[in-house]
Amino acid sequence: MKNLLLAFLMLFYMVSCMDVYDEPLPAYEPELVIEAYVNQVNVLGNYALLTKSLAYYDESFEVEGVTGANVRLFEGQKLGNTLEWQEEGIQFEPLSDEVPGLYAPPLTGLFLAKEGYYYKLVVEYQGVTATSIAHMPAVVPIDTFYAENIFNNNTDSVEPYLRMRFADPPAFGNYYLISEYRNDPGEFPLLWGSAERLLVNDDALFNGNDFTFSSIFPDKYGDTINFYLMSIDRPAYDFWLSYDASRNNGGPFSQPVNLSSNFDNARGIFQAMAVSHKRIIVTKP
Amino acid sequence: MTFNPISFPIAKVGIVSFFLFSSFVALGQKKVALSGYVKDAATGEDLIGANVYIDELKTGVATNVYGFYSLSIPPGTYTVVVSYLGYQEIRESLQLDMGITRVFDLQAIEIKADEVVITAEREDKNVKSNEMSKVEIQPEQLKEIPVLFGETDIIKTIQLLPGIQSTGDGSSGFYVRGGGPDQNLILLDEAVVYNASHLFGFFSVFNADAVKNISVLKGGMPSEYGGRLSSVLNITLNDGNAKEFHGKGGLGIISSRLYLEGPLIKEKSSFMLAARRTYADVLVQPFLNDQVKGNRYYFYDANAKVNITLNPRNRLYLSGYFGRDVFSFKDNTSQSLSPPTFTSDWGNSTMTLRWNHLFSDKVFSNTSLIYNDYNFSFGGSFNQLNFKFQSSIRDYGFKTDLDYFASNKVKLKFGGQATHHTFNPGAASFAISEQELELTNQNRLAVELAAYASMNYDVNDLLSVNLGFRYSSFDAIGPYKQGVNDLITGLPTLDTLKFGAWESMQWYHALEPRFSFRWILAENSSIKGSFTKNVQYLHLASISGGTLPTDLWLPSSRFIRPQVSYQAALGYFQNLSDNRYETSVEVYYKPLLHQIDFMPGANIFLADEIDRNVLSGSGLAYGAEFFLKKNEGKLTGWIGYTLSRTTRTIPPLNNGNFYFPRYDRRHDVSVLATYRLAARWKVSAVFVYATGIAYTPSVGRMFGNIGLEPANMQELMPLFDIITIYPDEYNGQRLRPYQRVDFSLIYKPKGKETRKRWGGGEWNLSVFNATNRKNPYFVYDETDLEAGINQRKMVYFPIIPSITYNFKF
Repeated sequence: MKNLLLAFLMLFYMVSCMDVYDEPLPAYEPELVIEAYVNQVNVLGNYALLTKSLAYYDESFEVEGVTGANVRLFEGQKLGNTLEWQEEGIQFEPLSDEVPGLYAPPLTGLFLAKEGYYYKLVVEYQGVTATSIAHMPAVVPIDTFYAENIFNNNTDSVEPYLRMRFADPPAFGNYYLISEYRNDPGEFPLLWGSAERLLVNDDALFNGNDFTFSSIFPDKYGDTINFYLMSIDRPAYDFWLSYDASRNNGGPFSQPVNLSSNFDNARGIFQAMAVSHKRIIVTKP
Repeated sequence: MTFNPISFPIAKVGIVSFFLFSSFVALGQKKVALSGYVKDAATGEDLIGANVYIDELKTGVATNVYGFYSLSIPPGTYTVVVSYLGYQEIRESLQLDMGITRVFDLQAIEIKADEVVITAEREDKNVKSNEMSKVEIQPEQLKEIPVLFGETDIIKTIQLLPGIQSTGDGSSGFYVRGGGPDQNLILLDEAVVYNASHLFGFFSVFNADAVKNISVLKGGMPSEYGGRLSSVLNITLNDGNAKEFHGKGGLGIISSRLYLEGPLIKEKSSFMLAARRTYADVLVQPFLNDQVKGNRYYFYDANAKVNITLNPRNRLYLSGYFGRDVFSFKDNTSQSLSPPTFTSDWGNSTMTLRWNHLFSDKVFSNTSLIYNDYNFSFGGSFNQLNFKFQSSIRDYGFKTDLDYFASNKVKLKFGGQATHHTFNPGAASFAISEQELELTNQNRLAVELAAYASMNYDVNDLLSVNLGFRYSSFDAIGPYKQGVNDLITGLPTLDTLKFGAWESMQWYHALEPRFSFRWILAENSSIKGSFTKNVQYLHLASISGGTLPTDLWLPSSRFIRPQVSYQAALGYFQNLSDNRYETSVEVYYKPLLHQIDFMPGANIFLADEIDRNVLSGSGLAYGAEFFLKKNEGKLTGWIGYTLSRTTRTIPPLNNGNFYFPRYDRRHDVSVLATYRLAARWKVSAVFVYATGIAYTPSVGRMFGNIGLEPANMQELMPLFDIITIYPDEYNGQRLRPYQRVDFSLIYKPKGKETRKRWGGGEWNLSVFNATNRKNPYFVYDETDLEAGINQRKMVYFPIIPSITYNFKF
């Protein structure tokens, strides 16, 4: 769809022109932005990153980390219709001065998230409390992950294309985030943000069936690829959809969309994710 | 609920019609009928809305859309006056002892360049008729209006009328009295046109050469029309000259057109054929650099019509429209042997077969079979991926209308309509090397039925009322497999409800009362009022607020309820200086129910059961329209001013509070003036002013704050990873007001008229947006690491001059 709109826009450019539009805008105060994760495979992958947004026409391109916040995580279970929370919770601490705004559990408090449990993140900053609750789904395992070698007539050579297959569970309502992380000795990135998001999808179109993810572009021989199939909950899925939507905002083709947030009093995402992981080296046949 | 199409609505219509009938048959005692057609003497074209008036009785009737009239009067000798704007009036003494059929041939007035024409009897139809909120335009009038790229455009012209607003320069959609672009019923010879735009909306699909009559109804919709809330744009095609073979056409800078007409059997059968094509893509090819060479964009369309008079009581018409837009793009910069390509084409086709039948000299009927189709496709390939997408809407319809001229005081109209809709909301196929994926949204089927009856009753010389109702029903039918959501969690489940062929999935029906009146105050002034309820069962899935080829139409369903509007309007009409000036003031109040919009960020592309993403709410529109028109003299034209307010309340948009949709324009001014300079020269000008469009500006941003590693935030494509933050208030800002001045100069060269076959050649030099004002169509944000972030506006048309040569033979 994006390509279609781009093609249309190209045509518009042929007969139209662009001009700076300098009408005053409503005032805007920068807001707290939170990105936080818990997962079941990597104890170092549970953290919260706190930053601030900017006024739209602020000249800065710098992202400012937020220090001096109080970040605490609670684990909970659903008993009947109510959520029962741990009393104490885990106090997150600033990780280092080099990455201001990054908060993680202390070494004594390292943990892995558990299937079916709920997690609550509470962030206090300058007198405002922002809270979010995420649900940890069941792991959906990757069945196969490989590079398929396809002969390209144009370049007269063989090219590798990534293929990943998994079986979607029978009930509707599974949400997936697929990402990859390349050429690193580790199995997981230090921060989830350095893994590249490839696809955010629900199972509406393939519920209960096998689903194959196929890359459209050829890969590189010799690359080491960590591939992650993450099961997430509905609010997280909505968040990434709105993330993509709000990256393409503007113009007459989109309903203005604010990035959805699963925090009250802050923008951002707190995501509990059940990660299935495979690692391959793309090799020439 | 299952639905038996026969039982309920038809029975109801039958009963009401019976009562209407029986109450007025008594009025038609001892009278004779004068009936027949009013035609153009030169071409044999039927004239729509011509007046046939009996001087002695001070009573008259207007011809219907097929040029037919019928009057019931006591036997005697009368002076019959037949008149039509732009035609020489006929005044004839007729002795009526028994019913007679009479065809009146009116001679068009040739306005000689150097004389001032004064017609004997000026039109006072706007004051005397009991239709309000209605405007008729003759295609001849269009020619004097400045045009864009030399193309006369019907929709751009009606946007100059008060109460009708443009959706923007780059769109041929229009908003009527606070209604959305999908709330206009656009009819081309009775067939519905779902997407009336060419070239992404820069032009409308109607070729003015082929058009006989254009009428716009903004309110007070009579009961024969329905299915849309806000307006009817009714376009009637020429029947073709029944007497001689003729042609006309135009040569323009980006397109040319040709129109041919003539008799097939003299005075009995005629044809019309019109075609046009743009060729800008062909002309610019030699000047394009290699990168964009080979890219094409063009449109073409054709109208055709044949009619045959079988005998004085039966006449058949077959008319059709076919148009396509074709766009293709190839990336020539690609090194690959198979560079990326995109192609897209879309268009309408319509076909109408009509049968006019006279049951008697008082009962005229028309029965039509209607087909229309709009489809859009887009496909392409790059790298290993091949893809294709298509969507469409197709209707088969049957319609029958009866006009019963019961007496000179009472006219009855009734009829029915049945339409079978097929919606294909999108099918796509993707192929990556050997793997193929097909996504096909299920077709949606529906049957729409309507029956109506109305009565026009001239109570006395001063008061005339029109009372009618329309009963409509809409049945969404199978085959269809509908997903079921869990009752508690609201999440989709594995369960589906299966509906068999013709099985009813959801049935809606409504009774729509229609009422209007006219009260004559004095010779040249009247008051008119109307109240109508309208129901709309089809909805446009558009988030652009304009019209685009990608727009999808959706039927009412379990999730989308039919839209409803109520409109009350009151108007004062006054003609001045012996009808040289027409003035009117109309006020309207229009609450709207079940208005739809989309959830923020909703994706309407390939979403199965897309109607689950629809939000529903209410709307309110009210306003006043002022109109001053000068019909004759050296200077002609009009001034229209609209003061209006339109709101929508569709939670959760704007946190559930009301907001101003794109269609809200507080002030809207249009001025159109044509001045005859000298013998062969005419100049005309258009001025338009409108309050800026409501929009939601970006106020804050996050770039890379989420989803990226902090170390990479600055370097990793910050230009593309900007996330916009919008204010809480939806559509809380206004774009700069829209303002435009156009001019045109028309020159009729000398000498050509003396040549018999090649008559009226004419040059039209137009300047669109003469002051080169940069009117924003929309605003977007542009980010550049060096220049920073700027809000920019998209301006479609800077100053655009064009020249066209129009000819006739």
